[in-house]
Amino acid sequence: MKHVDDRQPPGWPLKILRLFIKKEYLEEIEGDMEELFRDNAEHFSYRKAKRIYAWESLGLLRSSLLKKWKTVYPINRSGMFKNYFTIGFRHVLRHKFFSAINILCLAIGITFSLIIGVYVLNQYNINASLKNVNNQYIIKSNWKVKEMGLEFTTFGPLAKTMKEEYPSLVTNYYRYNPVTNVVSAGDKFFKEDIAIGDTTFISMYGFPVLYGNKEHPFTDNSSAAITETMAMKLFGEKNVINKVISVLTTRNGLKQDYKVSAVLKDIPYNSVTHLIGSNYTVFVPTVGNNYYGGGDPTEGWNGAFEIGMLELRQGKTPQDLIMPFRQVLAKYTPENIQKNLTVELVPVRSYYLNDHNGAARKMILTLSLAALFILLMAVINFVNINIGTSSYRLKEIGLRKVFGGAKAQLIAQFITEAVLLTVMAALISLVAYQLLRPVFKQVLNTEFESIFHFNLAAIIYLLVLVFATGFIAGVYPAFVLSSSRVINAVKGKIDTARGGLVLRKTMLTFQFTLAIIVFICALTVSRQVSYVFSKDIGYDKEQVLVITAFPKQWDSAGINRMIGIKDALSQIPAVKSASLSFEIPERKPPNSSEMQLINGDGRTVLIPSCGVDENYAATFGLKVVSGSCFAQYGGHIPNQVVLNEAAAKALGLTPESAINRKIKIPSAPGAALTVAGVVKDFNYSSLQDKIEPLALFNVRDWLAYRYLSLKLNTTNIGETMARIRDKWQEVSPGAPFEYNFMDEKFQSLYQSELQLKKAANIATVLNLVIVFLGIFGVVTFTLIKRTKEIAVRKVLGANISNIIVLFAKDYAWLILIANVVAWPLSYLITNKWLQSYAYRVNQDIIPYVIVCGFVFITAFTMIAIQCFKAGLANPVKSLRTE
Amino acid sequence: MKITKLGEFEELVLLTVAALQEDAYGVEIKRELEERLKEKLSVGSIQSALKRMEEKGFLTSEFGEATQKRGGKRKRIYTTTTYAHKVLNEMKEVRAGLWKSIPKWAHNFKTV
Repeated sequence: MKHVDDRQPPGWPLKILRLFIKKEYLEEIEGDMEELFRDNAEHFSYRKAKRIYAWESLGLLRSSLLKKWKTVYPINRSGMFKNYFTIGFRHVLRHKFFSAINILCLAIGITFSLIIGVYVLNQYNINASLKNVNNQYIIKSNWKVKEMGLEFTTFGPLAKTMKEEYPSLVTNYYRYNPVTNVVSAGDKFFKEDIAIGDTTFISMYGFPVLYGNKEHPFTDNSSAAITETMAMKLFGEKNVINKVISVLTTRNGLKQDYKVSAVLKDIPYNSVTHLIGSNYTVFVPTVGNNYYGGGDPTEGWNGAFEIGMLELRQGKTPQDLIMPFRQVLAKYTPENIQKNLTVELVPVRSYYLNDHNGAARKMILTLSLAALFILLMAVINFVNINIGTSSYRLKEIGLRKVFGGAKAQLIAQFITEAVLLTVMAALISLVAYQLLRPVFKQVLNTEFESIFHFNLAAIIYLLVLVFATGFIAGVYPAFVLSSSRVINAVKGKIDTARGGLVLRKTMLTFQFTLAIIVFICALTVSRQVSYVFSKDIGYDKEQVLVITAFPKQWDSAGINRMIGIKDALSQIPAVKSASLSFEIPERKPPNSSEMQLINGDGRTVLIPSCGVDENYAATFGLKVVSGSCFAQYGGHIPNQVVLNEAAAKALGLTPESAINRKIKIPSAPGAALTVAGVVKDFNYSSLQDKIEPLALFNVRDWLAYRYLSLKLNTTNIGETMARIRDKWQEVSPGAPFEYNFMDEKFQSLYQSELQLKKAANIATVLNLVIVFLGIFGVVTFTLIKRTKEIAVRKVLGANISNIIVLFAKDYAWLILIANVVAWPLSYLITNKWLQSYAYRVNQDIIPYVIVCGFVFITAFTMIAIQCFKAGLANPVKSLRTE
Repeated sequence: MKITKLGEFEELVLLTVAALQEDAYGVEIKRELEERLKEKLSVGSIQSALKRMEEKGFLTSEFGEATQKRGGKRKRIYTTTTYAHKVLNEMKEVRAGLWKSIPKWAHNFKTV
């Protein structure tokens, strides 16, 4: 037998065993393994024995034999953490002033971030609850010439045809026609938004049904679905199955009766039912409806005014439907349409975010950035103050190090402390959030859930927000403080004082830069908003009462009846003028007419058109440049048209030469139009759009109306309103008195601007509060550190103003640099935003100077007050300290 | 008798420990059992069975002698507890009772 000792078992399996097997088992197992190894080495080859050894070693890695990792370190770590917490709390309590600044800033930052975070989550979740939302699409029409049709409507039969001809691509469709009219039951009647559409929509989008059949909510063509709110309004209860509601149609005062077959839970905001901003409460089948008299509007390929939506088969994409759409259009529509129209499928899921050129997305981005800035500034304050006040901690750090505290442990301690402080701030934030919910609900126009109803995403966001903030705030001070050398630390000197100072100043400059940018942007938004509200928009929106003109009986008899009502209302002394029209100046009219000047240059121009009456110019204060707004005396002259200056120019005319010129409409051969007058350009839609050509037809030729506008001239608005209401009920019984004032309508055009203004103002205030709190903290501890210096200077003859200048000088540079950086950036940002308005305020230096001056004055006042206090102290006392 | 959590393999290891008396340490148990079962067993399976049963109170153990073959490491000698004997006996009786209650012709029945 050879010497067994020179045949050693392989090394690496042994290492594995020693690493993983429980210590108390190790001796026995190692021994067993070695004994077996030697047996095997005798019986088999050395190599085989080694192989068996390795194999068996791996086989030993079983849960019952493995180390429990928790018990690896005999040190009780929870005790250490408890100590960190205790020390942390004591530190917070000892330096109440700095802790208060830290916590306050963090609380402001977290509150704002929480509010914005919840807002963003809500915005992203719009449409998320719709059934199969990833397969739902809206048919969008892209017209080569914008005036040819609307973007969000299409041909009535298109959606249905797609489903019928391409069942392998399309599983379902929904079309609807949005109308507003009177819905009544018994003696109750209300103006409601009604969707006349396919009966597929409840099951297609999975809107919850409270009462009625979930699978087939519509029993037949004379059944209707209404929302719970509507049910309460009409009947005072929710279960109203089989009760009858009547919908007023546009035909001769006719009503159509429907039996309620389903009551829906109130529908939250989504892009299917809120596509054009209305809140539908009544849903009736399009088949068999008599609303227009022309029958079902989803039939026939002659008009593209129906909203269409498709549900694609799982796995199919809009790309798969490009060719089918082309083929269907080629089959059913005239060549002119095929050339000018491309149909696009827009996903419902992201429709809200992308709508209006991504307005929602932009708002989200802007607000998120604002929240991030505020949070960042709070974190910077924390870092600044923590490093600045770190000299108090140096002895503690030194001691910990002397007694064997590792750097990693110190880092852990400081980060724990920062997280602790952030958690305290977060608790304040939660209370603040709960209290501020109603305020922000108003500003941002969304529901903010109570913290007790947060969903998982919101809770995760909150936790990540708090812990990430705490970690980021704590990590830099932790590394700087923990790396101070033991000797210096025990002596209480900070090694990195100079480096820390530069960094602190850089961060202060950065804070100022951010604050100045946000401030300038907020001022610019305010200026643009006040510009919008004070600009001469070409018409007079004050004291104009806009009544929704019910009943909508869109024929000659109906028009004459409505004009009778108008004349009756005009009798009221406070009513200066009254006008019946299809549009008021709140949007670009969706209808357009192709116009060609007879004996002109042969050009055809598509001009947005609507119907108004002869009092329109007087009621809205439009300036008639030439001719008149239709015949003012002697009754109706058919086929007259009034143009705005832009339209006259587009047709190649001047206001003077336009009068009495004849215009033909190539698509509708018949009597030519005569230009009766030209009005001065006015902003009939938002100031974002340039004034485009507009043609006003006589409402008697247009045969449709929606509004009755009254120009009032009164100081006693209450009494006048009461008289108008009484008169209305007398002359138009059975029609609800629904009204707005034109200035309110105008204001609602700029909802998002007003929101932005409020949000920007809030952000500015918060930013400034945090920045000045930060400066306050930094100045305070610099003064504490330089107490002796101040005393020496005073002893040597300096007066208080010298000392103030000494400190102010430092910060003057900071603020100056911040301004130099912030101005061009602010200019770029505000300029980009202003570019989206065709009519905008001119950028000038005023907001920049205001902001700069404000920041300088406030910062210096604060520094001066603090220095003054420090400078007043008796130098002898200061010199004695220590 | 309440059902004790003693697996088939564990029972075999336990019986081996009882049979080997003071020789009952890891390698010897493995050797004995391999011989009787006529199949290779891994160290890991034996060790984990031993540790599990020690935890359950069927076995106790103490360090024994160290040999040069073992690289100077001590053996761990396992001994069965009285509880283990009680459980083993009970299991034997249950088995015996069951065997008795199988009718004699039951085996033949199938082969008819």
